[in-house]
Amino acid sequence: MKELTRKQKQGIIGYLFLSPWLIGFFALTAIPMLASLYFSFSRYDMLTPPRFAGLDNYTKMASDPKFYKSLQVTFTYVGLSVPFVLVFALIVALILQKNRRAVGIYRAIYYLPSLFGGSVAVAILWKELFNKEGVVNQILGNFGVEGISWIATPSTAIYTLILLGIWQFGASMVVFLAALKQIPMTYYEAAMIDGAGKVRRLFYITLPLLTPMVFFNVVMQVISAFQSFTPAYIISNGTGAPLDSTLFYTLYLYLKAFGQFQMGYASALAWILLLIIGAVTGVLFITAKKWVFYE
Amino acid sequence: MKIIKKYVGILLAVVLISSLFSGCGGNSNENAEGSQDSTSNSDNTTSDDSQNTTDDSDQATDQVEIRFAWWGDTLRHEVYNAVCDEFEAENPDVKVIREPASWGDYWDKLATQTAGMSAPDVMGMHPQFVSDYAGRNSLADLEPYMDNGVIDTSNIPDTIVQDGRVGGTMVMVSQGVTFTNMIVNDDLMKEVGVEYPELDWTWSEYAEIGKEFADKAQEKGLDYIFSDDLSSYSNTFRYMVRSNGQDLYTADGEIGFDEQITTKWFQYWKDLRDYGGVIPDAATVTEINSLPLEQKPFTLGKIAVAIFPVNQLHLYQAQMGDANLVPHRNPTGDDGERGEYLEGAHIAVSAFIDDENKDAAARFVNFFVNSEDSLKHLKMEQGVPANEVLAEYIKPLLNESQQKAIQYVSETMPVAGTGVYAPVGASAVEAAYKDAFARVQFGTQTPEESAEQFVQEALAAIEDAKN
Repeated sequence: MKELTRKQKQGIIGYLFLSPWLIGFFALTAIPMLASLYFSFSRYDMLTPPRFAGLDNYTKMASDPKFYKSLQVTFTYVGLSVPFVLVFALIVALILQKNRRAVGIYRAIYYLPSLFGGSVAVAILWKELFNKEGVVNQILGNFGVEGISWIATPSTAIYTLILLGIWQFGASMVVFLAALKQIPMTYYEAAMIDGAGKVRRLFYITLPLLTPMVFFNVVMQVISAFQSFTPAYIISNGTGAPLDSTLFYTLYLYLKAFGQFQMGYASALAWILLLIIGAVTGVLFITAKKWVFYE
Repeated sequence: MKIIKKYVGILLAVVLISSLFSGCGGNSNENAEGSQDSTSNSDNTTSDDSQNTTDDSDQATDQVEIRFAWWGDTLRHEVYNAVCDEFEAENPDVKVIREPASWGDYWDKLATQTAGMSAPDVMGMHPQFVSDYAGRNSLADLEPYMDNGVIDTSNIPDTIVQDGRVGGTMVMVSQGVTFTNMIVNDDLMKEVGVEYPELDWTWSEYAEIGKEFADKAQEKGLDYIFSDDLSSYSNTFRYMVRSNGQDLYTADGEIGFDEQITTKWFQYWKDLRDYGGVIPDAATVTEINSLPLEQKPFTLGKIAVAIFPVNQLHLYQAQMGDANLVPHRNPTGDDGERGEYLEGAHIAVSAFIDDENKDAAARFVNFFVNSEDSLKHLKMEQGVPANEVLAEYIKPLLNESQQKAIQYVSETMPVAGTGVYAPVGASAVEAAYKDAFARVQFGTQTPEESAEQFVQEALAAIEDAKN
């Protein structure tokens, strides 16, 4: 083997350092994705080998009422939870940006829910809060109001999940806090000299300069919200009950794959979700030019 | 300093590489999917490890490891663990790894594991789901073990042995015979002051008694409800269908019921629901379906009649203290035709394991069903033991509620028929049924509409699964 040049040697060393991640990427992400793409064009019940079925899964999807229902539920969830998460995150970040006493504790308290909010334990807890004998109804009882079962009534179940999503605004809040610190004081000083009040400073300096972070948070929250699974699974007991009002797209996918042994159809669902998230994110990027202000 | 840096660097590299292989998705902290993925990956690695260690280590430590999975509540987990301990004591060359789960989680988990070809060596199996597994060749053929005596069937009645034959292959062994019938909280009935027949009633009588219960309870200001909403249970639907001469499925794997009877069924429960006080409302029923045994309204003494497998009577009794719980037949058709069929949990062996594990698994199955050391713990856990000699053996060991149960089963066995096993695609039919009754419960469709849609979906599911 001829002597390697310094550049080649460095190249090889670089790839060697990358290799753990590359192995992980191919074995755990890229190859499973390709396999799932293949399955989406086949009938596969996981116990017998997959049989090629062309576009069957996709045509079945087009006439599947539950598919549309799950899309509706998921879009409702994304459409309601993301804006509220950002609004709360922004408001609380604005309040907590000044370095007053114990502000660190408040920031931590608001951030904690987003760390473990998506977990099974919190979902079970949430179920206990909002069921017929739950804490919320007990509090309402003190005011003489008889509460219904919030998680088992079709019209209200999805809102308990949205509430759970909104409760986890802490991560976005931390991003906003960091962004707020980045705004140079000179702008505020110049505005104050020109006689701008607090409200004006908020709308004409803070918000416009925050738009890159708002955009970042919107994209991250939307992608994460589309993939939400655990709370829906736990609170509806794995069924999307009542009446499919909590049948998130990912939950429907899971039920088809593991409850009804239709992994081929579920793989097709997964790829459609990928396309949907990609499309929504694309739209967000295109509209971003209109309202995101980069210095 | 340089040396310390060097070693810290190596240590960090090792930690980073090993954290990669734990399979984290590397996404944002809110991505619950990531944590789900890593759990399932680690499940697969453990089972792979145990398979590998049996191959290498049987020369070294002579110990075969078999995994045993079952469903149940905490009391049952204790019982089964005791049986596993007894087996290990008598067979020091086999180690049993226990994998308990609740009924709901068990089937999801089993499907996933079977898909990954890492199903447990020995698993609880139920007639409701067996076709999905047997029809897809994931259960081992136990006939060779029965023929050569490793699984002793000499004391098990032939009908019960043949019960384990699905699609011509012997895939499972009965853990016990039971019936999913009604249990009446006699104390509640007396408190409200309602008379009811001792063992049998018809569907019309049931409705009449229910309405009487609701009226009297309201008069007395008692906050009780007569019965669970039984339209939520496809098993009870099956009973009703059978008591009218049909069945859920026919012998050749088609749907065995028609639209009229489904409409009648949903309408029956709609009337009771509209009457008020007879069955809980739709939202409450949805909640009840996800509650564990200890929290169900029946266990808390709020509902007078519930349906569950009669072998679980002692579990409920343990939670309900002195309450007088009476096993009762499911309602019959107005002309007295019955729906009972032999039910019960079974135990099966995975088809994906090597012969050594299969041998150990077969020995475990035999121990489980045929030995005194096992039955002295199991007693009535899954119903009347299939082994007739041992059924006699456990009688003096039973507590009062278990004796009630065993007596009930013995009385009912003679009048029970055999149920047809569900064909492949049954899980989709179950899902369609769940949707159908929910629609009627919440009033989004009339019984006729819901029945029509359900029958269509069920037919489509069976057709679909044939391909």
